[in-house]
Amino acid sequence: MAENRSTKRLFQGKTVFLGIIVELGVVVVLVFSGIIVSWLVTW
Amino acid sequence: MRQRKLKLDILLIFYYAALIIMGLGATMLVPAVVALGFREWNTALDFVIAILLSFLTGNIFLLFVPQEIRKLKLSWLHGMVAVTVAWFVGMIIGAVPYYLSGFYGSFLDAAFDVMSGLTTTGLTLVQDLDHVPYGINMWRHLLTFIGGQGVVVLALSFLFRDISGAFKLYVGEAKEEQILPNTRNTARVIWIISVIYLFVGTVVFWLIGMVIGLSPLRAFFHGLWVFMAAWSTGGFAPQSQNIMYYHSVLYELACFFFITVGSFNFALHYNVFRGNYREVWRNMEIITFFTTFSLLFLVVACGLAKLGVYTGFSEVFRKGFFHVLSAHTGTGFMTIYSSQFHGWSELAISGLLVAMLLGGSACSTAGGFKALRVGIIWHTLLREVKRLISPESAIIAEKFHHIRDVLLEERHVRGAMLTVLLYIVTFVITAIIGTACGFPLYDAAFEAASATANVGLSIGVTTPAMPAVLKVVYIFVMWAGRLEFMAVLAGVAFIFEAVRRR
Repeated sequence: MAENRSTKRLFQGKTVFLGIIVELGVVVVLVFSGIIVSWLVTW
Repeated sequence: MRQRKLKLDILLIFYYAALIIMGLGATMLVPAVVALGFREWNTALDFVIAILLSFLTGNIFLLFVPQEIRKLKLSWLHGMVAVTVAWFVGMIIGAVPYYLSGFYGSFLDAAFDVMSGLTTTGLTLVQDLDHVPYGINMWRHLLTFIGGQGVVVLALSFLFRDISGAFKLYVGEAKEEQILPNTRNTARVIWIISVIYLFVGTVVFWLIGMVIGLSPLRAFFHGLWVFMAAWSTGGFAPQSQNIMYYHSVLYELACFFFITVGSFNFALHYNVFRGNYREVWRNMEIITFFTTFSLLFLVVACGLAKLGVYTGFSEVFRKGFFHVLSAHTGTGFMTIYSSQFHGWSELAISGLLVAMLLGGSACSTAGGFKALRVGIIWHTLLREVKRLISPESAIIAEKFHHIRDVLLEERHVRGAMLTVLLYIVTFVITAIIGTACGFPLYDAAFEAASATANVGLSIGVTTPAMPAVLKVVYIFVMWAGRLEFMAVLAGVAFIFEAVRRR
């Protein structure tokens, strides 16, 4: 029971929202690196 | 005595396999309801037949298992073989609504698509996809979504209450990292994270769908399905042109995000969602993925620019980046036709092939070698080089960061090397079989990498007209690759052992 209760309280809205933003940041950096590589090879 | 032990093993394996199969059968209620909502009566009936069949099969299995055996503790062998049996029988039952729908040329084609969905591969043999009913499309994408998280993870979250040895079932499905001490709670965490992203992703794709001119209802279902395929790094799409159908940069950008985060380790998501944001930039898997992705995209971009396949910067980025990311995360989304890969240079295709084999993160929805293993092999190489240049008496310790600082041990190296070796051997054998079936070596190798690493990019080999033997081989390698070989090898060893004991 105690473990089930702790599972329910695992995440808070704020940290989840910021977590998604941080993960989005990773993808943005990846995309920018892709843009730079594309620009370099076609330059 | 030995006969009795064998019988006990079989009964215990069938008990857990039966529960997982019935759990999978229960999930067919979702596409059945969707079919009813769209007044697709025949499709709804197909699902009702399949649900009844799954419960009938499960109960027949259970009929032979006495109560006292159900309480026995699972061994590693039981866990591994139960998962293998459940996936195989699940494939057959899951194929029933596909086959009854009339959109598949044979039952083998339908079974191929179920295994492709469950293993999040994305290769498909469906015919006339653009006119497939909503119910069938729901089942295709739901299978991918369930397969990404894991059928066992689903069963552990919602079906089993207290079972001893749950971790062995969990590991059997190639998810060796326990996020929480309790396996059932770990399975629940995986589902909570997936459902959070399911909500976010469906809304994002839904809005973009409406912006690009789809009706709200159609945009919603396309958004839901594309998200399910993206997050599970599955590669299915509701239209035969895959993501190219939408002709939308916004849709492609959303795909970039969801396929990338879909390939991240669930332990990483858990830490980030708990507020440990720095983990993203310190984690060895992310660093390895970034490095290999950047190098391979450079190779592919050079290959594309060299032949002048795409002349402008935006085309190289939009086509090249999309497909390298799709390959490296093991997704298989495409924005070109399969035949257009033949126009890409050999350098670009080689880059894609390696990206497919490398795959995403461990304990994620992605397939392939996994960034964790690639990172471990890299650190092993570093350790050996350091050892060579150090005095003989020096003790060389190599560390890597994955959720916490971990000292590189021989068991890490052995595990990583063994799995990578099995992937390479399977890939080479599958490519040779493809060549023996009459396909050019390059095409056979590309498709073999795609099937083995559960990617789903196709150069045109996977069609309903391909030889039946190749369909069977691809089903097997998708299955073995998704379960990371050990569960399937345990199943094969168990059969041999059973025969030997008789």
